[in-house]
Amino acid sequence: MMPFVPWRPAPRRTAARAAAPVAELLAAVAQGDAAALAEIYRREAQAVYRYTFGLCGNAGWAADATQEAFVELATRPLGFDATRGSLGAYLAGVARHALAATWRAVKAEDPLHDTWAQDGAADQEDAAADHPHAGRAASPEDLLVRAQSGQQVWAALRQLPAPFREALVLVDLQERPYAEAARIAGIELNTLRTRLHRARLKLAALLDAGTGDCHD
Amino acid sequence: MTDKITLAQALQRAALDLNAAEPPPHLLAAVQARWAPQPAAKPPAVKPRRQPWAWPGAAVAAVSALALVLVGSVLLMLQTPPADQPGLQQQQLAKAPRGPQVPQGPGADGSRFVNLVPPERWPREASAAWLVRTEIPSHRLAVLGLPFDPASAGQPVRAEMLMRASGEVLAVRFVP
Repeated sequence: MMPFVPWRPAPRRTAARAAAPVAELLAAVAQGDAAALAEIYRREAQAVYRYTFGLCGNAGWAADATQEAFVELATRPLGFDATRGSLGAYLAGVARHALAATWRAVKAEDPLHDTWAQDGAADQEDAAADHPHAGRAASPEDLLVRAQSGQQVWAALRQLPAPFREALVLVDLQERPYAEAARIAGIELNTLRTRLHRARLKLAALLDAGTGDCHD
Repeated sequence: MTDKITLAQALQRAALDLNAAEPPPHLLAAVQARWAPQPAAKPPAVKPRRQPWAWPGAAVAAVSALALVLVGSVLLMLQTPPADQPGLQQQQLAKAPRGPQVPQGPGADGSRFVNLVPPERWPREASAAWLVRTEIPSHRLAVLGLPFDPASAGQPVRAEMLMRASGEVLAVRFVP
């Protein structure tokens, strides 16, 4: 879990810093510039966290994986090669690696490979507890609708094999380009397309089986 | 909201949910706490390159040891002058000219003295210099600025040296 960290004020964000190119920020990080690291974090942390959260459905794991990605970047800022993809894709790839390690340690298997086993009802309950809307202020009507439909969708997503869910999260939920999604998942572009197609079919089937009302 | 949702609607809803998820507010602080900012990178320390003419440490030590031995020999001979040449030092220096002229030693069969220092560095008083008979390795002649045969570098050469008490060699001549 997250270690206790005393609060410290966030560095001031200047307009020049906000518009600085990634290479300039990384060079500043290499020189020990904490404000440059904070700027990179502001730009990329949400996407990395949402990717890992959509993939594992566990807020703690997602936060840990995101943290690992940024610590890796901070300690080895020159390890990022801009010719091989965007910084966001690089961070997501590092976070994916950390998440897989956590997953392996807890469940003694790597769900990000094709042998992912379907979780049971207990994991569906966990998914409901870790739902992104958990803790958010909402009207009773919103809560009712989400309880009836949102949880169904996420429960169905949780039943997908992790590689399929990953393709859906990257392309359909985060709207990343196919090439970037394939790079993050570490697979060929055609493999990503195949997984995405099969993931959509399976999700539709799950939703249809769950409600009887899903139409592709 | 109806009970019927399409796949597109399901994905849209999931995307909205996911986009509402935010990383914990303390995450950046946690990253920074684990990251010890490194000071500005220093250029790698460049090991000073030894000049080609520089002597290695062992050679310097050997020369120092030889100088100590030489000084020790001088001091020893000051206490015990050679029995066959009593008062040689004083006698020789008294005969030694003040200038570039090379003194002629008592050994007629030896070579002539070779000046190793300019005349202005010769001592003004006879008691300030001493004649020392010794054997030196022939390669040490190069240190004195004298030619030597590399083929016999390790062989000793008998010589008489006119020296200051500090060990500075003023002149030298070779004896058989």
